[in-house]
Amino acid sequence: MFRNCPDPIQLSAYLDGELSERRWLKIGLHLQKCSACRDKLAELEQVKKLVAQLPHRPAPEIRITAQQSPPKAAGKRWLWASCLTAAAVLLLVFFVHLRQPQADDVAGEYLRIHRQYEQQLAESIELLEEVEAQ
Amino acid sequence: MSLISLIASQKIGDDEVAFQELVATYRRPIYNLLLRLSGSVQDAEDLTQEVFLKAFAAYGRFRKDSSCYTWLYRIAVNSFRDHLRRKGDGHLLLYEEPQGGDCVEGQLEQKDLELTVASALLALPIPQRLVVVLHDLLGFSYKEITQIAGVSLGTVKSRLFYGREALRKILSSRSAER
Repeated sequence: MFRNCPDPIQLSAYLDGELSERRWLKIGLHLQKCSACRDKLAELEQVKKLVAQLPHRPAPEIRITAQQSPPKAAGKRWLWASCLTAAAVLLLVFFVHLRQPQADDVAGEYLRIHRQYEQQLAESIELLEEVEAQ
Repeated sequence: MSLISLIASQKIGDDEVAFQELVATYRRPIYNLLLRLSGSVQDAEDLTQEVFLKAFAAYGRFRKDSSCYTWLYRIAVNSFRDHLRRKGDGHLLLYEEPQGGDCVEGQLEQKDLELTVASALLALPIPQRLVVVLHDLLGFSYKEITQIAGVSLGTVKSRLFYGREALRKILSSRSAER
């Protein structure tokens, strides 16, 4: 190979038609005048053909039993039950909190607590979705 | 009970019918990918079963579109990587010839060639072997291989070249030995 010869990685991509049109044309022109690159290309092509000629063997039967099938409905029921339980607990805590004597600026405090519980609920749901996704 | 029996007994729904089509279409190429990667008929059969079980378990969550097949091949590649980790580095990769019927002379020559090429593939480093099998045997484009193997386009290009070059050297040295 000569100094102006393309990188052999590019020759391999040329063989697969995986180059831009411009580069493909450029290498094609080079190949017309460079026997070393033509030889390299022929070697790569021969190897490619040998691998392509490997027979495709018949596959085994895939056996998936009822026990192995995903427990989709159960999974969703579990998620909903967990979310509802979490929501119920948070609401209970919130109302218990409401019934307790509050300091000044009661409305602002209630709003802060409500937001905090909303955030905790959202985090719980997100966590449960992650667990189910795994 | 097989998947087909399950469908017949109406215990599963539309998703699973679509999954059955997926199995019918991709069972053979997935098995051949795993056979050429592992070199073992038994491992390839077990891994193929594992791939479709994993795919079945995740199928409900998966968005069914044109990239479905790359998702399936990704599962296959990851299952093979897990399998290698389980087996450890000492796992000896010698190509096992699948059992077949009696061969006439021409078929013997063909079988000999297959054995030589399949064994040479097993001598490649796994990243190169994966790209060569995906491209040259299964006909995936470079872009598809980036999605399946989780590597860049440049990496696919270079691994394919170095894989072919290594294969050429192995095959040349083996033919010189005869």
